[in-house]
Amino acid sequence: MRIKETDVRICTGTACFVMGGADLLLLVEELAERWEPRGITREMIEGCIHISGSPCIGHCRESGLRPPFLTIDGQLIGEATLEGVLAYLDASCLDQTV
Amino acid sequence: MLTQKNQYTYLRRELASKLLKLYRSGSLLEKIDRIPVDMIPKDQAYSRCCIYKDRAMIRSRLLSLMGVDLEQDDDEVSLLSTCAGRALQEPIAPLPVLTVISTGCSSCMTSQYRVTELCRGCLARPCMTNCPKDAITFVGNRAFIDTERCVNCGKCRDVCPFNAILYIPVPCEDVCPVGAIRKDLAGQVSIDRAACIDCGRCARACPFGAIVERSQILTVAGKLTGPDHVTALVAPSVDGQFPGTLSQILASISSLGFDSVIEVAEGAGKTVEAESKELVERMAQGEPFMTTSCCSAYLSCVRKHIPQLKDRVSHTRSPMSYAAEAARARRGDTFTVFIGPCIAKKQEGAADPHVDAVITFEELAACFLAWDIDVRETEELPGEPEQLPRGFAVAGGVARSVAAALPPALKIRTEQIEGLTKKNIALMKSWGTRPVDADLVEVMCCEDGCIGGPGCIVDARLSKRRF
Ligand code: FES
Repeated sequence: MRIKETDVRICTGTACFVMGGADLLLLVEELAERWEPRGITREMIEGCIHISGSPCIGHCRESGLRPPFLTIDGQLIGEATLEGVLAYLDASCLDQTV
Repeated sequence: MLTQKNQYTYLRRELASKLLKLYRSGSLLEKIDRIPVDMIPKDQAYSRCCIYKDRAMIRSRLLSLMGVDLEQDDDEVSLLSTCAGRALQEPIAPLPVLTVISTGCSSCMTSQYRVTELCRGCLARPCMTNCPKDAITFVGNRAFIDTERCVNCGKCRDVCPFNAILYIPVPCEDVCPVGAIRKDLAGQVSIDRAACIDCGRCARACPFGAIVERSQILTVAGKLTGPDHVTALVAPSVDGQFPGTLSQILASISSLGFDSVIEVAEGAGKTVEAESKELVERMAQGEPFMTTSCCSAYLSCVRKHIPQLKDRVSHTRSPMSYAAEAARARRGDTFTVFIGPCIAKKQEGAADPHVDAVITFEELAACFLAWDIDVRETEELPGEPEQLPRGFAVAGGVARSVAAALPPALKIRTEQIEGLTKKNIALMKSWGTRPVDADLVEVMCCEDGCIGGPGCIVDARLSKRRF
């Protein structure tokens, strides 16, 4: 199975972290567990899904959107939850036809 | 227990940071009365009966953040700005720690098992066969639980093949290990102060957020921005509660305006020393066993509920107490603020002449947000962090440290109580007559130890990795 190269940037600013962002740091572990039945190893995930932390990206100051924030290939996601991100990556990174 | 990954948790943190942000910007008195309206605007969907009740709840929460005892001192008429002005002028006495937002209580009645319409009145009727109290009868082909006989054991639910039997909990009552939750005839909650050990579980279990801890953040913020010398006493469990290294976290605390930041792990060193010495003496005198003494909720629990263990509890003081004393010895007029994961420490702190205020990590986070401090971007403190017994933060850590400090020839048996649950309390009561087969018993009120405390930000599964 192919995994699409994806860039995930998790905001580790204090606001995001405190408002639920701490959970997002479990992303690799959770992905590894979730994709294991499809024969995807943690190494394969780390090779294709590039997860990094970023200092406050400034969105916590804007009204309208709520932390925690992360971007997936540049696209901003607010009020991010681990479950939501997992589902998003399922749909966007795995080649569903194989 | 309710998962802490929930909307109420985030609301609590947001409100605390809003309050402090206003304070810092100098517009607290002018703008605080707007918070309930801004947070629950006219056209917003409401979670209770109407926007007005939602706003009233926000008002009560803000009052508790200012330290107000809602049951005694809220006249329901005073403006938030009036109360804030008062709170700023003179600090409010911090006890009792927990207070009830009575209008917030949803009046859950009694926890019970109930048969739902999924019951098909099957032939096997395992619920009936397995009920130890003959509480199940069949009326019109459907199981029926006689509440007079039912003892809430749950066997019927476990054996029903159709999942037709449900447990309806009363969350606050279910988590309280000492029966301190009282309900009046209408189901309204109150706390029996004579029984309460301030563990804070009810405040985290109620899905309506109707029980809250009173905060001292406003007093602390006032000290941080004022002329006084202020010392932070930081519990070891702080590691992993924020992004970044321990050194960055301590540096961030310092940049809030604390003149001195002391790790409570320094005090833990003294606790280990004294407690190991005491253990050797007690063993030499042939005493059956000794328990640790650093957990305040446990100490209250022994005082109020397990008097038979009174003589078994170590006389050694807690790391907080030693650290606070040391801070005062260094500077007599310093205002000391313990920062930890614990609600019960608010009670211990109120009784300790060397501790002036106690705040939780959650309250610390609100300070970081209000002061605009990004922990992971903060420069580390100069030098390597000292080697200190930080393992106190995790269940098993205290016993390990004490055992390691004993004379090498002395091998001891240790036992661990991780979580003051109803079951564990009953077990400890039995030790009055049948002593546990151990020399040292470590008791921690919270599961996982302090890193599982109600004032934590990060799930213990995650923060555990730091220890
Ligand atoms: S902390 Fe994440 S956007 Fe500011």
